[in-house]
Amino acid sequence: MIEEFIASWALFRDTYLAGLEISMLLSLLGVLVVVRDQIFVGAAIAQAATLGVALAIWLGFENAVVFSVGLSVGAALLIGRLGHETPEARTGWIFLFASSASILLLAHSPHGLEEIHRLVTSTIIGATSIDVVVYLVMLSVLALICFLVPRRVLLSAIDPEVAKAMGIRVGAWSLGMAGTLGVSVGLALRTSGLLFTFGNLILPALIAKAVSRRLRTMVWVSPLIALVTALGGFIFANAHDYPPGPVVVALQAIGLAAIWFLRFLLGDKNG
Amino acid sequence: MLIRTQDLALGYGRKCVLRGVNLEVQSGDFFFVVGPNGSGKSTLLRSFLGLIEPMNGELILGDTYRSGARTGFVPQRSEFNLSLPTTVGEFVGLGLAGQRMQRAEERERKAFALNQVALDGHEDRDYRSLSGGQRQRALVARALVRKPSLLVLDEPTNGLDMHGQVRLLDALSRWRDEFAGTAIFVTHDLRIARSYATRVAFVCEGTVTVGAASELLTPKRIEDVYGSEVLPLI
Repeated sequence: MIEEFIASWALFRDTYLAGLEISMLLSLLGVLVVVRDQIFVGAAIAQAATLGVALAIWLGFENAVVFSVGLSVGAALLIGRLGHETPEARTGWIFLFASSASILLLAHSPHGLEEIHRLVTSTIIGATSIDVVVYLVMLSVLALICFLVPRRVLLSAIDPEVAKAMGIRVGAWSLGMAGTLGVSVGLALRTSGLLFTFGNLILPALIAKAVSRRLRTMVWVSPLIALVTALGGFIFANAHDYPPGPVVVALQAIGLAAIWFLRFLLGDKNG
Repeated sequence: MLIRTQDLALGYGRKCVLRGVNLEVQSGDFFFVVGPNGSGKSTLLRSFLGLIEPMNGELILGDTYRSGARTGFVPQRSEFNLSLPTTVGEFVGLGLAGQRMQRAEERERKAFALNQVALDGHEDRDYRSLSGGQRQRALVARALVRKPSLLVLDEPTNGLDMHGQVRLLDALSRWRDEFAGTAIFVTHDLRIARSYATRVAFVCEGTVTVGAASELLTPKRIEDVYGSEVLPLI
């Protein structure tokens, strides 16, 4: 299996590298999403990015990146802003509106619906060397922030009021994180599709949460799990001719269920 | 002077909760804010922390405290999501966010803070396994780990038994004496305010009256605000 994967490296190098980078990038952001207990946020932002793609097709633009990134950033900011409605209510609204609007926009365009279907099922094939560089830069910057000032990042996410009282600029941090989440999800959606994007945002962070004793451990365990599962998924998908995105997400989901079950058997009250 | 207000008005949106607030918190004070539910105690506290902006008037913070770097805040209850993994040591260490130091100093600070709230030896314990009272003390430790000069505490004795309350307040008194600290408390417990306050702010019906506990917490005033049935409890 591994020999076949190595043999395919030359042909799919950019796909594999971009996939691994996206997986690690999203899993690192996923830690912040999971500690804020806003798991559905990832699905809503990814769906907003899908609406961006649908809008671009409907308007006749070839390059949909600006639309998908723009709408996903807008969705992330809308969820994060203060207001009378809870973030959950805004998240639900964004998900439902973006889902229905993207279908309605392309209801009379068979080619467009096909593109939306492709985005939802996640293929990853088609990543370019530019994608590889972009995701590497984003991953490096985010990792640097998380490893240099982990407490500031975590406290702003977990207990913003206390962080603000301590003089931390929570508003700026939240805005930065919402922007990073929006850009990452918007770009990742175009390269790897909705399933891979949402799965990697949530599942590695949930696995990290289940196996870690400390929050700071989650910050490095989550990308590590993402790397291992994405690599394993790519190898399996290549050997058995399956689409890599769904294989990786299925592997992560099975892994999470196995850990939950193990913790249940061990009688872990915090599980 | 640590904090001074002049004709301060506070509220949310267009709704004014407190008006005409004139008070001063001096260095070394144990300043207690008391009053009935919904009177605006927490609103006043939040304004000291810069969490809400004045609607009117002036709120003057001493230079040292403006940045929040030397302020410790103990909220009414922790917002910490108990499904998340953390140890007591890591939870307390979150109070060091925004401060840079060597690991040895970090360890020393955590040990000091945990000792102050009688949680020594619990550093590696799962935070989620703590009792409600222990979690409350961990919140205080998270504020103390910053070595603050100003501590702001919103009902810190909630969930503590009487022994725990006295132990916590005695620890805070020692902290004040040792580090020349100042503490601002919000509490419903008038007995505690009477025993520990250097000064009291009585918040009631949108106004704030400041004075010594013996002047303000008189049976007459308590009866007027809370009703005669509470007098036997004071």
